[in-house]
Amino acid sequence: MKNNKFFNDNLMHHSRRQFLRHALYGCGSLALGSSSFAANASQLHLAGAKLQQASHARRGFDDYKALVCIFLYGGNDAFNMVVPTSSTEYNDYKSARQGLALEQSSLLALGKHNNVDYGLHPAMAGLKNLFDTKKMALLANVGALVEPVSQIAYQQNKVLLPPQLFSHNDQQIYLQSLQSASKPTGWLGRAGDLLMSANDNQQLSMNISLSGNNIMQAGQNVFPYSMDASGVNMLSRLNNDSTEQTELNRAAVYQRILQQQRSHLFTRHFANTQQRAWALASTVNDALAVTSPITTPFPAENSLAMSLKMIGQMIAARGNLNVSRQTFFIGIGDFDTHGDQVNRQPALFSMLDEAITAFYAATVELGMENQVTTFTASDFGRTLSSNGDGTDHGWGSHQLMVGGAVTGGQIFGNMPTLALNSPDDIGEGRIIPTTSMDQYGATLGRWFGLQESDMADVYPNLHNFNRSDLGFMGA
Amino acid sequence: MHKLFALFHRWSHLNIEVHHAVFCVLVASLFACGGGGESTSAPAPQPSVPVEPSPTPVPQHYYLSPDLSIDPTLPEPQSTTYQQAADAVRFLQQASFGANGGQIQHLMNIGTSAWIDEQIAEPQNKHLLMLDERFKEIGLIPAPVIEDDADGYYRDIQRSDVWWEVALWGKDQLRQRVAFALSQIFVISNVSDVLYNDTRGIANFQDLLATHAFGNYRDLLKAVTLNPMMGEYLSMVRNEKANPDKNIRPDENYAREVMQLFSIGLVELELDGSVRLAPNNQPIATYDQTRIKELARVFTGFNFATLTQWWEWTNSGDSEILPMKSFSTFHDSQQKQLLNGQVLSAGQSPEQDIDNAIDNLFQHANVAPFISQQLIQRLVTSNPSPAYVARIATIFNDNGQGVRGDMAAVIKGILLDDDARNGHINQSDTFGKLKEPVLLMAQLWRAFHAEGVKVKNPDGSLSRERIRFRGSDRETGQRPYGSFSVFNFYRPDFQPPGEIKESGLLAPEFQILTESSIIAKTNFLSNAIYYRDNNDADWLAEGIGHNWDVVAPKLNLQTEFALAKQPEKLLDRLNLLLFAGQLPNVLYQELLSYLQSLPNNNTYDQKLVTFEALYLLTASPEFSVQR
Repeated sequence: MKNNKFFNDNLMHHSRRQFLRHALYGCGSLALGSSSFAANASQLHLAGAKLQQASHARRGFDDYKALVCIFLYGGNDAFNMVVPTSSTEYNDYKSARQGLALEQSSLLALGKHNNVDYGLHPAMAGLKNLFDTKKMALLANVGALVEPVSQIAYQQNKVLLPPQLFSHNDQQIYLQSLQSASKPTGWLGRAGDLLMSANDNQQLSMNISLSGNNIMQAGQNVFPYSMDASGVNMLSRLNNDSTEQTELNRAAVYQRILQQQRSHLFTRHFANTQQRAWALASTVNDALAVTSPITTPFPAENSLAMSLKMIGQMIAARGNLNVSRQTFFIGIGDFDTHGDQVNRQPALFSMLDEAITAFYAATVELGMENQVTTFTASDFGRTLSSNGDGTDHGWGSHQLMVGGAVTGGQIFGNMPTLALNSPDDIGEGRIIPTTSMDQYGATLGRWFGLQESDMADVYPNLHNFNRSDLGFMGA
Repeated sequence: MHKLFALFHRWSHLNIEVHHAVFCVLVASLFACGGGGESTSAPAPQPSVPVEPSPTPVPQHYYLSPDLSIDPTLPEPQSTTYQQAADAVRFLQQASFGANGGQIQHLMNIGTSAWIDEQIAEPQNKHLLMLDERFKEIGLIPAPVIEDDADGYYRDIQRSDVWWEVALWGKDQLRQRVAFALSQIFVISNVSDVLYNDTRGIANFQDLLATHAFGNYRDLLKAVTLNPMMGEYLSMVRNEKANPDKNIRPDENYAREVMQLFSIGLVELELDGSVRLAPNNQPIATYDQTRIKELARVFTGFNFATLTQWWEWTNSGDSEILPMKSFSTFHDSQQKQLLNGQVLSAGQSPEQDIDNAIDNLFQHANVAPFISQQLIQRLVTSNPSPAYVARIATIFNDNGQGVRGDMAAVIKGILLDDDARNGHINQSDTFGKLKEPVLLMAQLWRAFHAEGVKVKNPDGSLSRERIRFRGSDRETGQRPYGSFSVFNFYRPDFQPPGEIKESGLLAPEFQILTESSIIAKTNFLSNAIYYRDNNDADWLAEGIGHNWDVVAPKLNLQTEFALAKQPEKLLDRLNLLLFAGQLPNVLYQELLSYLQSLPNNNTYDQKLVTFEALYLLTASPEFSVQR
């Protein structure tokens, strides 16, 4: 019955969709948008060139894969998320962190990495279970780097660095773009530019955000499509499929208003956004409406979990959406624990634990656990030393990767020394990353379907590091 | 005052803010521990009164009422005064929360310069005083000794009501509009629970911004620095000097953000706001990590004013209001090296250190272009010309009488500048800004003299008219004092991907315009227009539930209903009132033929014609952009 309904709806919508697809060609995903109504000749030329480029590069996949990025805004203090439990290393940790240190006995054992025992934060029992069952891996001390950095090279200014280390928005932009350019694009955006052509649905962006605009998913041609944890709303009193003639008339007028030629860039951008939103709302809603709801329980009062649940629902609807490659982005805040860290961190980690654990279970329910890889990223790590009540902006930090395709149960990368003033420390326990975000992203991107020839475009500084694949994604 | 996590109440799950709900945790360290504390020589805390100097006496029985005056007839397009009226609307979109007939006429009568002077002299509406009265009305103690977190959201709804009533009904329009702009530079937010149940503190912070809106930037920066809400938000409160034995060093949070966001920014600027380049063609950083660490030591030793002991905890309403006070034992009194080689000698008092550090920032050459450019972006246009920024920065540096940081002169300069007045003609394809959702809704509501809604209080009584829009983030993607972080709703240099970015233009407000928020906002417009006139919305008469957080107010549309018999007259009026006469002719014709096709036989039809016109116009791209 459900499929029939979809089929019928599809027929009913067909002509309108065709029309909108035409009107929106490129606007949602491929080119400069219906701005071309008023675009000058050179812009049109540019748009045409891009379309051509995209069609030349058309990729095809016979499977579905999704990357889900959970961006921990504010700078997650992962040195309290993964903690050494062997006595020498724990004592270094305890002595550096003082009042912020977790009790040795409270840590959830993860096993050894380079002969040192590590434990997970006690609020992360669900993730520990995923680690034990080899569905989760950890990446140690990853961060924003242009090239490898040593303490001496840093102190002597003899190394290229990302701009404005320790500044929130600059580091967010860098980690999401891996560029220092004045008009950066995101690495998932660039991946989208290369892979979007694989999706039969060229109207819906390959990159979907549950947290609004972000650099990471914005490429030259592919931009994030934004939806909410509750799904997608339809425009009120502007239903193109209404049974009331008055509403159809109104919708037709509004459509013509939006399609007017406009010379002002802002009104044009607004009109394009509204047209895209209007057209895609029915596409997405129709697909969701005929998809069985996920039955895996998700924790209530957990906004991350609500967003992940909607992502699960979108993955369930992949067939109806006609997509084979998708990225999803969620940004969650409050990780900037300058104050009250002892109380805030358990709540933040518990939120992560419950949400990610439920989401993994949902992918199992869908039979998609091997097709979906979830990973975390964050502005930066935090100082090992305390400011009395919390921590300040650091640099390197640990991240989580979850999914059936992840080589789980292991810690990848190199764990830093946690003693203050060690060779890994540039001051106050700001730890120099030993793995770059380029390497982290490239390992994910290769699994996702990028080819070796794509790597330099998507991960511009990857060539500065000796390993372009960290090995945490199974073959 | 919430070190303790609190459950963040929400009226609806349809929440587009990113937040998390966590649970109350009692922690021993938050209770008075004794030991280590020391009282200072600072005077005893003052009782609960606003601490920012008030420029004017405070009225009694303090509430605002809807402006129900009947609009004067506005000039028709052929009139010789039409262009003057259109210019007035443009000006009022920049300088207030929106134009209405009376304001348009008044501005035409006295002119822009006199209007600004009048506004500067207009008594300031005080949010905190109104809020406290409101608390009493609904049976809440304004500043309880121990706050009840269960009231937190209900209290914040009251604060939001006051904010909106002042924005829509206050006569101090320019002051409040500038305060809204300042609240997007000096950002605090109760989206996270750091400021949960700090409702009075946030209202007082708003008053602080409005008080200094026409004062001096230096005083504003100092007041913000010592404000306990900022102290909590950027963790300067209770920040103590280093304790090497415990590897504890001063918190860098405020030191970093006061430079990056509130005063000088990351890189050296020319007077015209452009980035100054070193000989190697690279930007020049204004500070480095060493400077942050030095400045962090300045901001040590401050705590809530209601405390007598450093380690005490306070939950009192007054601690949200009174400027933080110093505890010299916890202040780092060693020498500090600030910007431009300035040295603070050892042994200074905390107050001396703060004063000197504020002066050090204030005297930096970046402040004028950095602050001027952002104020222009908030009020007038996203892409001011370098010359425009330079003219305003020059006024910032010297108001003509040797005074640096004169905000009234800066604001006046911004609004009277030739670019502000004629940019829509000279830079017709790029001038202006996307209206942020708060301004968009405010302009609609002011244009049609929005009446609020009555609220059924918990004791059964009916309130006065309220503007109930605390859930504006859910409905439109933005809420005053509800930004995601100290980086505001959007960054001043945000560029939406695509054509705008490729053109090198900035468009901050587009950061919160997404497929999801644009539909939500359009739908809210629809709900705020259809059957929202003060005759039709009968169901509102019995009052809304006390904890509803969004109800679109009633509109006064008599003038429009009367014109709807002749749709072109209606469109002419709306074009002037809402678009400053800038509605493109092709849209005008499109709308006109649609309105003419609708039944128009009786007053009911005429209402519907009006609703149709208003919805399609306010949902148009042209209404969304202030040009």
